Amino acid sequence: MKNLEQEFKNYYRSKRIASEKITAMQASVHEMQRTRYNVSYLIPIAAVILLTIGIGLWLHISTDSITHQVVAEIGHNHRQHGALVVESDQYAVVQAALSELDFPIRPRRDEFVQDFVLVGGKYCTIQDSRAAQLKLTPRKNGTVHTLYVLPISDDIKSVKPGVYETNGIQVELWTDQTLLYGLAHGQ
Amino acid sequence: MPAPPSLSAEELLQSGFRYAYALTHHHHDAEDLVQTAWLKLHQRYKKVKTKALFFTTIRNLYIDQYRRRQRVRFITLTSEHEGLSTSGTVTGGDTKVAIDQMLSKLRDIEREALFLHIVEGYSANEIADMTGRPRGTVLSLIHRSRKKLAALDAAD
Repeated sequence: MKNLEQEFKNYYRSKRIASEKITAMQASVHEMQRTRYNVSYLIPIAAVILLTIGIGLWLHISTDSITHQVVAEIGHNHRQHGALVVESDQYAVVQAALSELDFPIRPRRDEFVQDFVLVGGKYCTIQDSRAAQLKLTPRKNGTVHTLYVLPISDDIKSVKPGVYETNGIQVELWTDQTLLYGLAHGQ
Repeated sequence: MPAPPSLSAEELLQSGFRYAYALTHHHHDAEDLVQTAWLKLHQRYKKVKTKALFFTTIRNLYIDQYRRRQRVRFITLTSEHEGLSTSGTVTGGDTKVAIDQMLSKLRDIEREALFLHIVEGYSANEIADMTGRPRGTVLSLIHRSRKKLAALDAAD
């Protein structure tokens, strides 16, 4: 039996896989790993791209959202036609009357000042920030326009300037240095 | 289970091939098994961690692919086989053929148990762990296989 076991051992030890087969298997493994590494490099890149798209989308949505909120609030305030604190066509007079405001209410755009006649002003709030609400009329017609002036806080810094419409009221938003302006008219 | 320090890829492959051969008793099937197991382990772990894991993978593949298929193979008698059957005695170079003939008469689980015990040097406990069989069954398999081989040898 001892001899038979030795023969048994010899028999199996003589069984060998061909070296070409081994080479082919190793090549397959290398190819598989190379492909996997290629794919594994793509995963973080794809994740970064997706994350960037996600953040971009979120910023886009949130920017749209705050702009929409400001426009809606300006439109709503414009419709209120509340009593003015001070009536004057002089920005300096209105500025003095609205003494709690620590920013200039006169628009820096001269052509704007030339095109509109100031009627008066009062305090209001836009997105919880104290703002000036100025009543104006264009020189060429007597329609009522309302101009809102407020400092650009962190909450509204992503507001996008442009011309918007809310419930039939046209609202033009623009920024100038540290201030946000919103001009509403209609209805 | 004996854990050799670290085998080269070729040593592992040769060792795995011998085990696969013990299971299938067929060269090409054994090659296929080894290749599939080798690629599968590299795919999962990036390398073949241990010989025991390699053997287990080969064994599981064998059970999945070969035994379930109940494959029937027709073996053509070669001149070597014919020589063995006509001469009646086995000497020298014919020993390998004789062993081959004897092993073909064993069941795969018997060849496996004998291979793991005699060639690889695993104990009955270790084989029981590897194959999931009770230690008593493994001992019985080894004993029965040895007796069968001895009987076949005596008959020749």
